[in-house]
Amino acid sequence: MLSHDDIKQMRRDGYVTFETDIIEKTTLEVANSIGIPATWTNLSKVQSLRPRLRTTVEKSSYSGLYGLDAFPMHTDMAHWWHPPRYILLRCIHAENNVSTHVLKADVIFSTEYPAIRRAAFRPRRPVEGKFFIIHLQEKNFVRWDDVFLEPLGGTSLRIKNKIRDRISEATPQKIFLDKPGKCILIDNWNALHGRSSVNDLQSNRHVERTYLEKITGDTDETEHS
Amino acid sequence: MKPNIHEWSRDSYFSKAQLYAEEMEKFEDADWQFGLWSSLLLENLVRASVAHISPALVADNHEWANILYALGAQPKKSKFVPKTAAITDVVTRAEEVCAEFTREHANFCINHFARRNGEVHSGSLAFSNISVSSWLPNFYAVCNVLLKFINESLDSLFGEEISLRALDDIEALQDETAKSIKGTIHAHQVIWESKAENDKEDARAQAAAANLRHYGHRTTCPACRSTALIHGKAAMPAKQSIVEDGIIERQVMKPESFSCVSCGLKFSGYSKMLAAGLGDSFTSTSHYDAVEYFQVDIDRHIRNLMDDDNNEY
Repeated sequence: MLSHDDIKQMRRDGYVTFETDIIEKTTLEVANSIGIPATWTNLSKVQSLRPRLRTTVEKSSYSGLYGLDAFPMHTDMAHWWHPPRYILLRCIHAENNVSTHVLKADVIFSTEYPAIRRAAFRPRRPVEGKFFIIHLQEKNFVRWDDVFLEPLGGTSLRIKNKIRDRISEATPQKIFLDKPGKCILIDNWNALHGRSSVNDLQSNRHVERTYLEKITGDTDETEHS
Repeated sequence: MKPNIHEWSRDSYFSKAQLYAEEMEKFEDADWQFGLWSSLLLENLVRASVAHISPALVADNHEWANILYALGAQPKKSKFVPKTAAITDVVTRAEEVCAEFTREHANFCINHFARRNGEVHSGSLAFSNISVSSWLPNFYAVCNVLLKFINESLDSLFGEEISLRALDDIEALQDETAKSIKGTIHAHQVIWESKAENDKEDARAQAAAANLRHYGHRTTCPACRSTALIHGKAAMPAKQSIVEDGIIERQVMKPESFSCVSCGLKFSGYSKMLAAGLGDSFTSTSHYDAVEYFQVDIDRHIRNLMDDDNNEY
């Protein structure tokens, strides 16, 4: 279970890091020990992330779009109606020169409210066969993806360009998953994350990812209505 | 986590209403497109209000599979196409579930949707055939009631600028004292009709000479039918467009005062203008040449052209 200070840090910074024993516990066991893992029919509970060349992956994923280049700042599943609340990344095989970047969303979004609540976007591609309208800032969370979300109309295009400029001017926190078992837990509703570029020679980097709906001991029980 | 949202959910309908509000904003009040988008927006808002209780209330209940679909299940019936209830039925349901949504509001909605049908299903320009002030304040009033019901606001739907204007319109609509202007108009009409025909002709001629276009917006006096003037205030930021010989600036004005030189009828305040049937906004158009508009100093420009090269100090 995360400590009170860990949860407080996550609220403040949008993430927290902690160590786990890579032998004693699987990633799913770690997730179960700190909260409630999220499940979805078409997604495995734990995903294996390794740097891959752009040419070897379909364009519907970040590896397919960016390959070994830096991943731009984004929130996971931004094109979903209800994105996962937390992302747990756990180092399986470390590479010291690759960093995970985290940026608290309120730095970027706060001055645009309420115009941002009216700016309409849609997923780039249909989700389960349908398009629907979503907003970058919902009542209690934000979403951002420069590729997977398309603006509908002039207001949303202006907002998108503003947010993109702000992100490029911001300085994210850089976290190195530099030893096996080291974890970073990111608040996917209130923080953006990205990844530095990966040198070809370092393509043994291996991280496992799982999503969580809730963190045990977290009294912030706001839900996406 | 959930990839999708039900298309009959309150959030889906409200997001659609926001999108249509943005489309509405691209046009001026008097444009037929403004009226058409308003009717599409209103339909989504009415549906959002009943979906706020349950998406099942949006379903066409003649076939129970629609209710099952509304509740998130996929009916097994082959070639099933989900169907929502007719908007007239949804308005009736809104009247049941929303205490503040009165019969008067419901009647306005039905009439507004009938205008939309006229626009879509016939060759007539249904929204050009009526004055905007005869429906826009009521439209905002209905939107306000429904938005409060679903825990939203005029601001979250229209943005700050338009929501302030909407609140003004709603206040004007609710101003019962303004309706006394009808009595004032009637009194002036009686006095006018008692005048000799010669006197009426002289007064009309005076009014035509005094009420030139650049003194205000010309209209017909409701008491004596002579040419009269309306003055207004800016309703929203001016829009500029570049033309061959300069810049045209169009400013939508909200009527604020009326005066008639012929019969002496005068009054001010938007609520009275509305009650008198003179509430339509009007556009004030100004032409500027480019030099004047951008305040170019021509003399300085010419002096710069005449300076010697390499003139460094």
